[in-house]
Order: sequence, then structure tokens, then C-alpha cells
Amino acid sequence: MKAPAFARINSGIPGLDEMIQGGFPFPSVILVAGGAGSGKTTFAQQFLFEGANKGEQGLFFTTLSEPTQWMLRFSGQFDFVNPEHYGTKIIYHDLGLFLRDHDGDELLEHIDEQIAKVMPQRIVIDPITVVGTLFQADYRVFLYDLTTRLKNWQSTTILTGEIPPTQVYPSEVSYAVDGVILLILTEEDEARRKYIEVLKMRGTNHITGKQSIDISKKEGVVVLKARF
Amino acid sequence: MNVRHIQLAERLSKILDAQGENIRVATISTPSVNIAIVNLILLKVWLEHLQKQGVFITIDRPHQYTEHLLKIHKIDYSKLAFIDMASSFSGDMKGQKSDSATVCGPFSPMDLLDLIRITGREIPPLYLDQLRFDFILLDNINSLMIYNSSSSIRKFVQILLKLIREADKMFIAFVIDPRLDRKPFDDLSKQSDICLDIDKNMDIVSPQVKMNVIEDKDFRHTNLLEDIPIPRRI
Repeated sequence: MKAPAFARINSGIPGLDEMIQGGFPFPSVILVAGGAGSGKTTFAQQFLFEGANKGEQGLFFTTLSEPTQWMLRFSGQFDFVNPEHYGTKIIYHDLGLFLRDHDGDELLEHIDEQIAKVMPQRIVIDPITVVGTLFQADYRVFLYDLTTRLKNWQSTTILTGEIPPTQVYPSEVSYAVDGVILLILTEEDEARRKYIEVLKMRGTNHITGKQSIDISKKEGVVVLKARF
Repeated sequence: MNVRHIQLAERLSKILDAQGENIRVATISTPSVNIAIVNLILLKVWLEHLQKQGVFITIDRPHQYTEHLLKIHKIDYSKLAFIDMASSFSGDMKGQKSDSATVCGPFSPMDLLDLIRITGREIPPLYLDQLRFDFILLDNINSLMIYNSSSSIRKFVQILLKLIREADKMFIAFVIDPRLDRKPFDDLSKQSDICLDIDKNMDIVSPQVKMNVIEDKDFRHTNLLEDIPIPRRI
């Protein structure tokens, strides 16, 4: 007997859905990892605006990378950003202050409260790896609880992850999530080049290997090879 | 809940209230991303607007998530019992504090039927006292299909609907995404008294809602988006 197909939602990244059988599984938790300037936050914003344009509710948690105010100021320059969705179809919630004074269990409860209020179909936590440096010993348990709950809230979540130059990907988060997408910024022939790679996508027959991407003002992150 | 959710609740309330006991089985199609929200809205309609009592069966996730949503959105659920088929397999700390009836995993719908039969007569769970319930909501039939063969689901639905039809006033709704698998949706629709399609914007989109009249299986076509008289049985 063939199991019924997963529900899938569009990623909002032109060219990516063709690499992952039409979109991210719903519900699921996907890690989008990359170094500084690789396009993680832009990717996450595209994901939420795609949903908002389709009538879905989004919830964006910022942690301790940059304040929401500044993140929005910069990402507002992209053409795909529709300010009408701010505060309506996309709710922004800054976890920065909360994170300084609370432990993992309290953070989970706080995230639960926000999700129950907003009832989003799409969630972003940007970035999750900062939380790892705060919780250290409890990080693995926290990630297990977080990813389980996010899926049980019936949402597809993008966790962004920072990769230090010595690492290929954030390994602890990668085991806990359903999908891992790497955004790679590298130097080749004295030029900076950008790639995307789908490292893992549970229940999905995905295209492997690095694909070229561009980040344009008009569309944000765009997969080049899969498109043309 | 936002304005659209409230509007949908009012509209559904109007439809269900107007049809009264003519509707015993409903199939509601909606995209997968909306199923959890539509279920919550149906609970609001039954518990709050229509003052009914019922059972919510969770297959997709521990029942505490629905309980949390009911609390946050201030929907009184003192007349709701939960049957939880997910907690024991979810590995979720949120599911640890359980005060529901539980079925060990989603693999045996027949166990669920046994529980419904018992619950329907005496209501042992904490929330309801010696009362029979008015509605059953299953969250959700798409998920049950992941863990069971289509033949066992078909048998389960047949027996469940027989129980519903035999009971005095009981009502059941199946909220399903037909885009995932058309066949079970078609099967359920044929056995339903009413079919509604709720789109991504939480609008009831089908201007002509199919209505099976229960006793003679005749079809009526009624525009339920406007004020309508209570349909007569033919």
C-alpha cells in the first residue's frame, strides 16, 4: 500500500521547489545554514512573504543576531517585501531580551504562547545557533523539544544557523531537523560565488549537489541552475 | 483568532444551527495548512455558539496543543472530552501531563471505536458527567491514513458512521485535504449530509453546497452562503 503524499508548501525561493519535490513538507522543521552574508535572513523572509501572499500566517522570532528593527530596515529594501503584511500576516517577535534572563524550558513555554496566539502556518527562528551558545549542556534536549513542538503546532519552521569558518554545518541542529539547506559563500577564481545545497530533506527525493544562486534586490535568493 | 476566523465561525454556526438534526455527517475540505485552525473554529462553533458537548480525537499531535489553543483563545472547553491517539508515541513533554482517554498509538482505529462506544454511554473522562455527547471531531482523517491501510480506514468509517446514525443527535465532521488523496475525500463526501469547501483565506468557497437528505439520499442544492430556510425532508 502506498502511503499518502505529504502536504507541501512552497519555499518562496525561485528554483528551490523544483529541487525538493514541490516544496517543504508540512509540517516540518528545516535548518537553513550559512556563513555571514550568505542570505539566511533573506531566505527566511522570502519564505514568510510567500506564505503571506497565499493567505497563510507567519511568525518571525529573532534571537540575538540583530534587533528586529534593524533586520526589517535592511530586508525592507527587497522588492518581494510587502509592508502590508507587517504585523498582520507576518508577526515579528524579538526574543533577544527574553533570552538573557530565562532557561530553555521557559523559552519553550514563551515560544508556545506566541505560537498559540498567532496560529502560524510558517515560523522562522533567526538564528537558532545563538541559543546553543547560551544553553550549552542542555542544547540537545532543548532542540529535541523545540523541533517536536514546532511540528506539533502544525507549522513548517525555518531555523537559521550560523556556520563558523571551521565548520561545514551546525551538526547538533542538523540531527534534530527534517531538512538541512546550506547557503555557501566561497571564493573561486578571485571572485565570490554563492551556492545552495540541499543536504537533507526527509521524505523528499531531492536534488543533491551545489547549485548556483544569486541574491537580487528584486527576488531575493534565486536558484540559478535549477531555473535555467 | 483573527477576523476571518471569527467570520468563518459565525458562518458555520449559522449553517449548522439552521440545518439542525438534518446534518449528522459533514465533510469539510480545506488545504492541509488550515486543518488545525478549521478544527479549532469548529470547536468554537459547537462549544460556544451552539452550546454542545463532544469529543475531540487527536491523531496528529498530543491533545494538549488543542487544549492550549482553546485556553489562549478563551473557548470554554469544560464540555469537551479528549481521546488522545498521539501522546504515547509523540516523545513530546507537552503530552506528559495527560488527563484524557488514551489509545496506544494511531495504528488501530478499531480500538478507537471501542472507546467511543464506551465513552458515548458513560463518558468516563474527566470533563463530562453521565452525559452523551453531541459531536465528534477527528483531528484528522488524513493522518489516520498514514498509519493504516485504506481498507481498515474504510471499515472504521463505515462502523463509525453507523454509530452516529444510530445515536439520537450525534454529529461528526471530517476535515480533510482532498489534494493529498482524492479517493477518501470522495468516499466521505458520498456518505455525508453536507460538504463544504473552505479555501486558504478561510472563506467557504463553494456557492452551491451539496446536501444529501438523510433518509432518501436525494440531493438538494442549496446556497448556504445566503440566508436559507431549514430544508424539509422529502
